[in-house]
Amino acid sequence: MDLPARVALLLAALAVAAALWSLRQRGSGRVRAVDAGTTLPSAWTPRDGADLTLVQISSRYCSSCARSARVWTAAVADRPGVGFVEVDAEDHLDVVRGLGVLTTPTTLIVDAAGALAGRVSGAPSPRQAAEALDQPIGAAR
Amino acid sequence: MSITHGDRAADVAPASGGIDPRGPRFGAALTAVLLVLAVVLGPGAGTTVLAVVVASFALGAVRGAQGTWQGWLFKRLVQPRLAPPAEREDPRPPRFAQAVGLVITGAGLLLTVLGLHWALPVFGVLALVAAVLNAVAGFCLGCEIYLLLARFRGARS
Repeated sequence: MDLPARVALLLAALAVAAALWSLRQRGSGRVRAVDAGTTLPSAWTPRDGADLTLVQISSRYCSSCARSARVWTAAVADRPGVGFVEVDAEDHLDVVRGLGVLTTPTTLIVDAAGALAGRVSGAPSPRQAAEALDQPIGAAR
Repeated sequence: MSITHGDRAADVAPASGGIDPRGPRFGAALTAVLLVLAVVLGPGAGTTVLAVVVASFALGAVRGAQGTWQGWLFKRLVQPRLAPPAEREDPRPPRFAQAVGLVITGAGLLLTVLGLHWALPVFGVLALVAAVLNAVAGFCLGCEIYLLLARFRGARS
């Protein structure tokens, strides 16, 4: 590979990375719709008895999981009926694969019946967290 | 409402407040400069530069990002000029990312030394993308790989 080819490869890779990055950022922290009627495995009940429970899937080497957990914790603090639970992806690999979770943190929004109401990839901003929790449950997401 | 911390990821709060998250990002910027240099110089002089990057990642994989020469420069030259960080981070994710960087650049160095000259730009650029994302956006590409590996491992067992 001569010099022009190496420089072209370098610039092309950075351009692709920038494009993928901006795509990823566009969805980060926002509530994504899930298929209607998606329920969690019945054996897995991470809910803590609240009307709505946020289940954050974290992992051991995760640079934004701690920040995400802090934002969610602050957001649920002034919302009675909303709970927050953090779990380790490695303890629930069947769920992680079943739901197609590819990144941590991924936060599942679970209703009182154990049905999935939505999911959020990445750490939300405080504003995104508030928006996620203020949307009516079951509304089109 | 209550917060349940029953699982591993939640239990492992960073010990003693963690590290300044700007340190690994500054280090990644220096690494990115070296990787650009390695790719532009190409096999020969570039191989030597890549070897320096491999050695730095080896140091980081063993001691953590804060234990590299980049971390030392950050502590000596940069941190004193900055305000205290708004938040600190667990040193283990950056350290894991250093290990991923070691594997990528180490493979590139090995293949280049073995005479496969395309390996220097290909692996160098791969590591450069990760370093740039880390430096510019604070994104830990190596950390993303951990979950994918865990999924794969779990699928086979």
